[in-house]
Amino acid sequence: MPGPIGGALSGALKTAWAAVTNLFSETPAKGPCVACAAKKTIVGPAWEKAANDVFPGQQNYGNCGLQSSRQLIEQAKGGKLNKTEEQFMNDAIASCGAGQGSTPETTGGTSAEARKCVMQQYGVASTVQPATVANVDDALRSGKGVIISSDADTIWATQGEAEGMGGGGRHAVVLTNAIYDSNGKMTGVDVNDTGLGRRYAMSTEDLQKCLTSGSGKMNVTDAPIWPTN
Amino acid sequence: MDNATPSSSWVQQAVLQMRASDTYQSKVFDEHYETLPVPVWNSQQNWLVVGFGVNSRTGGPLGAITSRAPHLVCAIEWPSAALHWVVDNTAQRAWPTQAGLPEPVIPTDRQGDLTQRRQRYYEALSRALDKGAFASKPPADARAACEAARATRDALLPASPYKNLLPHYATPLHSIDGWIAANCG
Repeated sequence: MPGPIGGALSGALKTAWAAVTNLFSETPAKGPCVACAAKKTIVGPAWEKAANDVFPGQQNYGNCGLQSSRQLIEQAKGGKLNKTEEQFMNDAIASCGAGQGSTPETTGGTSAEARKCVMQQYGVASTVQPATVANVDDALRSGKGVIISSDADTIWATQGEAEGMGGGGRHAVVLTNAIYDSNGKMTGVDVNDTGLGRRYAMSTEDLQKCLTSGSGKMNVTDAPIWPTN
Repeated sequence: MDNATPSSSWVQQAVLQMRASDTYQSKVFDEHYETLPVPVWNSQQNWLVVGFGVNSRTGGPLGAITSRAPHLVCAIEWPSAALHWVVDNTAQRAWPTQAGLPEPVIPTDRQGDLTQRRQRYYEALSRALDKGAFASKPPADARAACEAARATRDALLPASPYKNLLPHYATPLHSIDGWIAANCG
C-alpha cells in the first residue's frame, strides 16, 4: 500500500503521464501509431470541404507550382485571395522570380525555393525539405501543407493518363491528406492536381515513384493547415 | 560519389546528386523539361550531359507540343560525378547537336512503366561506363563493353516517352551507334 507521499507521487506521475500522452497524440509519429491512425485514417467532412473549396481547378498557364502555393496560402489564411490567377502569377514573377515565358503555357514556372518565397510573401512560413515518403508522412500526420514535385507522366500514369502528355517536364501538386491502414502505416495520399484539374488519391508506392522522378525537394508549411475532422 | 567502385546505380545516384545541387534547385523550374543523361566523350574525358529547357506543355494539356533547345545544361563527369553547369547563353551549344540527322522513333515494344524503363536505362548506362564504353580509349573487355553499350542504346528511347524531346536525342544516339560500330565489329 502506498503511504501519503507515495500516493501523492503516484498522482503526480499519472498527471505527468497523461500530459505526455496528450502531447504525443498531437505530434507527428514516425512509426505505426494506433492513436494517430485512429485520428487520421478517416478524414471527415471538414477536411473534404476544405480540400475541395481551396482547389482552383485546371490551371491556365504553366504555373502548377504557383497554383499549388495559392491553395496552401488560402487554406492557411482561411479565405480566398482577392487576385486573379494571372495577377497572382505576375506578382510571383516580380517578387520571387517565377518563370516569365513567351506564351501563357510557358509562364509561371517555379522551383521549391520560389514557392517558399511566394508563400512567405503572403505570410505563410514553410521549409524546403528532401522529398521522401517519410517526410511526407511526418508532414501530413500533423496536417501541414505539402507540395511535391514529380515527373508529369509518372504522376499522371497513376491516373491512367496516356504516356507523353507531360511533354518531358515535371509537375507540382498539393498533397492534402495521408491515408493510413489500421496499423497506422501510410498507404496513400490525397492529391489536388491543377494540371489535370482533378482531385484524386494515389498509393504510397506510386508516391515513391513520383518523388524519385521529381526535383528531389518538397515544400512543407511550418504550421498545420488542414482540418483533422 | 565513391570513384573507386562505380556501381550499377551510378547514373541514378549521379542524377539524384545533380538534382540536390544548389544550381539545380535555383535554376531549374518544375515546369522545365529535363532530358535523360546522355554519354558524351572526347580523348581526355567522358561525361553524362543533361539538358533543361522551357516546356510548352508541362502542367496540363495546354497548347501544342514543340521542341525547344536546352537553355541549361549540366555535364556530370565520369567517374567523379563532379557537376559542370552551363547556365548562360552558351547552353544551346553545350548540348550535342549535329545537323541533318533523322529524328529518332520511340520503339513500340516497350516493357514496364516509365519508372522501370528509366531504371533499365540508368543501369545499362552505368554498366557501359563501368566497362569502358563511350570513351576514346578502346575498352579492356570489348565483349562486356559492347554488350552494355548495345543495352544502353536499346534502353535510351523507351526511357523517354516524350515526342517533343526526340530531336534532342538524335545526336547522342548517333554517337552511341558510332562508338558501337567502331569498337564492336
